Amino acid sequence: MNRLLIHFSFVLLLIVSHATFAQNRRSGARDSRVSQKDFLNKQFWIGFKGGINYTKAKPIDRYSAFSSMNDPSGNGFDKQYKNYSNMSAQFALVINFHYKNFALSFQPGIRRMTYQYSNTYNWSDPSNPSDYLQQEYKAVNKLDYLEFPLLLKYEPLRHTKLIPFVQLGVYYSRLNNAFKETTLNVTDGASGGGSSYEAEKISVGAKDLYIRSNVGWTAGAGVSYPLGNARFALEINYTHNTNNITNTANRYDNDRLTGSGDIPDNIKLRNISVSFSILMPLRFIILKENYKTE
Amino acid sequence: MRAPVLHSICLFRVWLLGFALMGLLAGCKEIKENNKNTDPKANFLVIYENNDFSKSFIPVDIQQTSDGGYLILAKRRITESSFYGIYLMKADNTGKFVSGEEVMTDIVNPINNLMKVGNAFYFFAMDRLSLEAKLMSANEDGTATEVSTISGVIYPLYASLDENTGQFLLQHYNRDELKTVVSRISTAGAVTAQREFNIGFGDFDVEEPIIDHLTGNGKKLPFLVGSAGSGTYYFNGFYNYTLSTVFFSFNTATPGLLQGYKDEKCISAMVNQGSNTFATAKYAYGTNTFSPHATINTASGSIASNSDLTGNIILELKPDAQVVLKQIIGQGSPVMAYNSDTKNAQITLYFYDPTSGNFRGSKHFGYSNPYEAGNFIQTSDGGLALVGTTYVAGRFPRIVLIKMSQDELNKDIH
Repeated sequence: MNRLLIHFSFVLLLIVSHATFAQNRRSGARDSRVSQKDFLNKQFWIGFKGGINYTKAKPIDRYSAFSSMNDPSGNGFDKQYKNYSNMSAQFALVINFHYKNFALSFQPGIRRMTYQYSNTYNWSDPSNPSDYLQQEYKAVNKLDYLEFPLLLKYEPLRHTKLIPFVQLGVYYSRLNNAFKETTLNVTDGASGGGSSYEAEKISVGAKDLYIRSNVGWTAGAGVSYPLGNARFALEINYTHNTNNITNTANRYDNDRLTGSGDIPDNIKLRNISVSFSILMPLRFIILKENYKTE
Repeated sequence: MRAPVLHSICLFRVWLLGFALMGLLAGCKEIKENNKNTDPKANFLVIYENNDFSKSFIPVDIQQTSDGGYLILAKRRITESSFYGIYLMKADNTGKFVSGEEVMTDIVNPINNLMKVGNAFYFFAMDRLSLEAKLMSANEDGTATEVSTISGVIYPLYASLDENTGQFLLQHYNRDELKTVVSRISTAGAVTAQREFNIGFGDFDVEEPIIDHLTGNGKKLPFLVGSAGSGTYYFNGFYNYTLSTVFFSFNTATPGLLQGYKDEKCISAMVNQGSNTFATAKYAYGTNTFSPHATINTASGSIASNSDLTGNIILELKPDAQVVLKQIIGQGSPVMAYNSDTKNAQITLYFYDPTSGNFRGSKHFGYSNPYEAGNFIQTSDGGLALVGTTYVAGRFPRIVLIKMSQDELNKDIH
């Protein structure tokens, strides 16, 4: 799957490169009075987009620091992931090349992805029910990526007031930073307590727990609204990571986390984002002066 | 005018495309490498958890079985005696718990070491009532069986394998005659050689510290016994009013002595490096010192003091720390590995060159919950397997097994 994505990315890069050169040649031939219609059909747009996203971590292989001596299934130590529960944000530069109903879109940007899981451990004395202890660990993981998505966009209706579109593409993301916050809540019956309290909060840099690369595909849909020379758009995207992002060589390397029994699973990320964007025609921004002087 | 500009733009785009492709290829390589590293046998940390509030387990030693798994000998708290009961556990080659046997409470006090002879594993324990030593065999499936009771041998303190004879060396305490005794015992449980050493009389009481050591209610004493080759053996134990290191043979020759002071200035670990050179660890009034390459006069009748052993003072270790010392292979050459406990409750490994005594690296394990060193072995894949105790939730003593791959080990040895 990852190899397929790499090949697909390569083809898309070639198309972008070709399209860029083609655009350049056309601007050279513009003096031969290319029609206004052609001008609108083929052109670059540039702008910004930003919005919010929610992440799900999908465990591929589960790991735990604990192995049960009296529960052979050992499933009690599996992390309980809370999917799409933590809001994060993303921001990107958008460069689109439009040709009729299609567009190639390169959207380099930054994205924070946050996922959460918890573990609950219980101890009790069978001969004395009042001797019990419950510990609940809640871990919030924040990953900051520099992302480079390349999308193929299709607009079935170009002449309506609201222009709907769908898009599909691939991305490569590079991990810039990662953090982990683990909160421990304790209910200690043996010490005479019956209610839960926050006993400890650990915040650590967790960059070494993840590999730098994150690849996958993305699909989405939205609507754009032309206003003057600008286009405003609202879109929703689903991002599907296809490689294990946990650094398998460093799984046990963070003493602070390992010491408390927190060992990362092999995971892949799923992300749903909602973004708002503003785009302007590139020729309008950069070449307008040239038009006037020629 | 436009041509050079266009040319520059083209070059920039080619460079950009090349840069993007290089980034993609680097990413692809990283993902491929990451997938290769997923061998679950190479590297892991497992805490063997039991949700029974009243249970506690403290590992004694570890051995690797023929299937790549691990046998762990441990002590456990029992209600029938103040001595520890026995727990024998089997884990698979990824560290996952397979089985565990709580050996009947008539047999208590499992002592170091879990010894491998051929494909069989043995350890010594003690009869709860008669206090006689028992030779036990540990099967690969994690079950224990009694081989024999060593008649007349009471209070076993420490055992090791004599590689030269394939028999066991057992240090034990004769409470009636106030003697430290070293016996050589066959795998069938027969005593083939024995020598006694006077502890001394008067108000010098060793019984209380020995029982405190065995029950875990007091200071853990660094009892040792081993072979220095050419028929010379040594033990670290009570002799002539002190806890000293004694070099002897199983005949009547006068022993050589490396004198300590009471149980306050003692050798805490030693490995013979051939002839009269040793790697040692010692403590003196709380301060721990490692001497990775020391010369000790082992000749009959010699008397020296362990104060004369110079070395590296390791301030981060607990006062009078327990130390397990073994020679391993790291970076393709022999390395002395010291395994001990730090003041901030971590398990630590210190590596030294056995010839020059130069420091070659260190490694620490544990952070949030307290960790205590148990024992370690070099595994068949060239890595290390360490067992220790961690106090889960800060209070439940549980066995922790840490596996280091050969790559990880080599990374820590410079």
